[in-house]
Amino acid sequence: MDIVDNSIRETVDLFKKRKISCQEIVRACFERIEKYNLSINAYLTLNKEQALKKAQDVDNNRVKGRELPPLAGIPVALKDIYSTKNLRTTAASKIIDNYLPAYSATVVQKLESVGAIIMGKVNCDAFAHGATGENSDFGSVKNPWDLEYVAGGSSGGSAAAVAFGGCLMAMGTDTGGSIRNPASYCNLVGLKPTYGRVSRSGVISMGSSLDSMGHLTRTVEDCALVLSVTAGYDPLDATSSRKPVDFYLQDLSHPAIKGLKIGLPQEYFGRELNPEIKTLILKAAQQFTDLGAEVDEVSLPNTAYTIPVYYLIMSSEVSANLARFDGIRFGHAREMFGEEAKRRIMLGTFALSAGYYDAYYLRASKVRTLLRQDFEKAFAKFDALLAPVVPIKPRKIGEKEQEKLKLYLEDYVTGPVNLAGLPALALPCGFWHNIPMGMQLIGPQFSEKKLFEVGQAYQDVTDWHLKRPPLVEEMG
Amino acid sequence: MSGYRPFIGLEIHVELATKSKMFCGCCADHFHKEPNTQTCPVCLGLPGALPVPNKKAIDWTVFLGLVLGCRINKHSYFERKQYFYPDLPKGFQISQYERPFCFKGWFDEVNITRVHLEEDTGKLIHRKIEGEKVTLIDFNRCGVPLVEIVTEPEIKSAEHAKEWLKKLQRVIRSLSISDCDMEKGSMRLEANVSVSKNGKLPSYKVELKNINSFRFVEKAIEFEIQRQTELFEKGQKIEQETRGFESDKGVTYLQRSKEEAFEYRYFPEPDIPPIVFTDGELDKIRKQIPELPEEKRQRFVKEYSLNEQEADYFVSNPSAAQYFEVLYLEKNFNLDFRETARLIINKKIDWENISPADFKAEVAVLQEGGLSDQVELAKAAKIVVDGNPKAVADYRKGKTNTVGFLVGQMMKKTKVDPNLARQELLKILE
Amino acid sequence: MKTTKISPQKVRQVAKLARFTLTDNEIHKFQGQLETILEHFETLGKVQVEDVEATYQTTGIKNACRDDKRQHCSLTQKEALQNAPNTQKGYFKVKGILPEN
Repeated sequence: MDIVDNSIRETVDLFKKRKISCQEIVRACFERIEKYNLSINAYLTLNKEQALKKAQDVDNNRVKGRELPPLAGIPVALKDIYSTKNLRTTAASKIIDNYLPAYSATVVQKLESVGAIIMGKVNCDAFAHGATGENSDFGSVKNPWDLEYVAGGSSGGSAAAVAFGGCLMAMGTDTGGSIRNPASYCNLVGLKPTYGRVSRSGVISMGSSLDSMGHLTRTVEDCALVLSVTAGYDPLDATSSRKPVDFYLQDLSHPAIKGLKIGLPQEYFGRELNPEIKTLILKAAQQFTDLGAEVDEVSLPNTAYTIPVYYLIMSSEVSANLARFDGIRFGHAREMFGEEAKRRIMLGTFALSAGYYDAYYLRASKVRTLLRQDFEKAFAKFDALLAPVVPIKPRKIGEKEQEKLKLYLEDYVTGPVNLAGLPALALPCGFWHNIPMGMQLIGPQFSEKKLFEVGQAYQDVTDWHLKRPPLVEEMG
Repeated sequence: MSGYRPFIGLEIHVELATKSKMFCGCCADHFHKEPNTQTCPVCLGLPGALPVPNKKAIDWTVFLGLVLGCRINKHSYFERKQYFYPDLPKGFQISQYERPFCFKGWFDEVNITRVHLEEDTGKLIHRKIEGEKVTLIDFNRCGVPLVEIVTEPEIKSAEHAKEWLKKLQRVIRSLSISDCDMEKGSMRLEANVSVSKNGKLPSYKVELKNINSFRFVEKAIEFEIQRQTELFEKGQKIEQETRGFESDKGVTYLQRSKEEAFEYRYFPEPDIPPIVFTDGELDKIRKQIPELPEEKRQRFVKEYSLNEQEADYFVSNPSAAQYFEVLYLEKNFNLDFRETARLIINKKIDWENISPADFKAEVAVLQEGGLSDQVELAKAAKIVVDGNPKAVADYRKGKTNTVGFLVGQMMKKTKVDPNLARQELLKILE
Repeated sequence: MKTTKISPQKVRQVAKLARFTLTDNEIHKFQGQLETILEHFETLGKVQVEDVEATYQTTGIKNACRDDKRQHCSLTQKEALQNAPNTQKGYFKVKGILPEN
């Protein structure tokens, strides 16, 4: 273990106690990157010069006794769909492999304003289309826990970067599970906030009514700290909420779990769920019971329709959102889109076309209401729901090349959350052989504070989140 | 005639004179600006940039809709109209389809189908550079708010179209929401034309584009009616198509056939939440509707016994109309309405530069047969100045009250209002 | 036996709307994939949606507008053009197209 394997909270403490400097940690992260990025393929673009300069500024301010903002000196990575001013942003696609945004996303500006150090842009499935990180035009992301396995997706690079110590936190996006899935694969905490809690302005849109701007960290506490920074109304995003931001860190030291009602959606625990994974989740459920929560079964009856509803709506929105890539103001010709992007654009265009709109897009939007109502009814009785994140055994890289379409079917445990606009917190809860496995806590809209408390209570009595990948342990 | 009856519908686009664009804070005044100097990530369609609607543009659209007798959709939303064209950076235009802000209106005896709000596209310039045909794109105009007004196919003739459009333009200008100028491009027209023998609305319509003056509207529609009639008389079929108008030759030409028609794939804009109006808000907007041109014209004819041309003058010149009405406010003025109107219209009295009180005074003098004509006054003053060099010298030495003596001299010679006389003399003396 | 059929002509039409130039091979491949995907989605047709309103937004937000104010958010001409493959004296440039309007 090294200083880069600590949590943000531990690092801030070390800064305060003057045990380490910001430049030290930033350099240490770059050393990890130098050693491992070639084989893991997490970072696509590095921001080394700027990062070191900013680290120096932070250290200077500290020496002068100036009060430091919450994330001062903390190295962070950004999924390469976050626009960063004059720092290459590719969406992991060849079609914009040379694109330099003339502006930065609101979240990026917020992170910079609280002192975070942007280490670089990380790999993902191109345009966030995928769940394994294999759809990147710049090569797959490998799982730091075992290089033969995928790191999950679409925010695979974000997860891998934190897992191997290339940064302490990474921003990702979650449209159908894309933060929770890689968090599970890489033993991290991954938050998908309520839709509208964090500004989407400046992040390349995938499914406009589904995209949530979230992040991956090592602990629940870190996760709550970061949300305190990124959450809030943005006048540049008409779908961002004006609801005041909660004090997420307030009750973490004494999370109130007693009497909390946690539901297990029976449709997520059916035949399709891998039995070993099921065992891990149920074990966690038992631990919640031991902590004083009341765990019971609940039904989300329309779950079976998740895949068609999610894919029809998401593809329709994608087909429109990717129409601006025409090679006139930026990027290359449309032929440079990867296969997955083309497929989704074709599907979405079809679903919106004359004669098919009613049967596909409109119908899917109506069934979406039914899925939302399932959750509303469940939350009338329960405070939170506990569910798996990855329902099948972890995938190796290059597995089932011919069955790419089958991947779509695995989104049934993560997709409904996006369709309903709810928050969900993914937490490490064990291992499937040598690969980490996570679970998710789903709550009603704007219940992130409660989810953090429940997650913290779990992390207080377990140590999954403290484990580090073998390659890191070897380094010492 | 030929027995064929034309069915004409109009589509009018009006650029709103808001300060900022429809979905971003860029300056909306794009006339004669250096290319691509008024853009931002939103209106340039950069990845990740999101639209946020301009409240004033929405209010003005509802305002215009109410003026045009429309019903208002209390729950409304924007939609994406998808097609590829170099002047459309996002690959879709944010517009309205299913639930426009305004619908089912009526103006000057023509039913209005809808009035909705959308964003303008960029400007294209076609050039030949070093022998190669290129198209240059300027996005300064992209994102400016555009109101679209669509009529039912009830326009009866080319001339009717022209007259109706002129009236519409006058009304829109009177609301101060747009300068509605065809030359500047803040008013654009499209006409849909079809003909039928049996009096029933045909199943096809031909869209006419590229019409940029009232005169051309008339010519284009006339030509098109003739063209379609001839085709039918030859036994040929006419299908849905889009035609442009070539003003030099006065003909329409094929631009897009039915097969090449765009398929827009409308769906609700996910980046913009719906717009909801309360009754209270609509009432507030309704109360702001000013007296409209047609109403004003009729009132001036009725109340002041003016003829049509005189009434028209006051409708087209709001400051003159206001001045005219102020004259009669205090009820101490009893010149015949039409005489006053003539004095103002013909500028017999310099009303623009004198107060209503002075105007009344001048009229009083005129009634006594005194001098009021500017030129005559100036002549008379000069004569007095030339004939009294000592008094003029005294004035110039500082004895300013000698002007009173000069006024007296003028009044001896001719009937004139003392104040006007003094003014004229001072003009020469200063 | 596939129950959802999409003709190659339809695939071509969709590709045109999406501004893709596809080879015959690609048309054939997408035809197969779209049919497979849509077949899986057939269950959607069985759901009762008679009186159900569509969900287009999950926030419940209404009237998210802004005042008519000019912001200093504009890009300079240089920034606007900085990623364009072809420009000409401050304009974006493309191959000549037939003028429409």
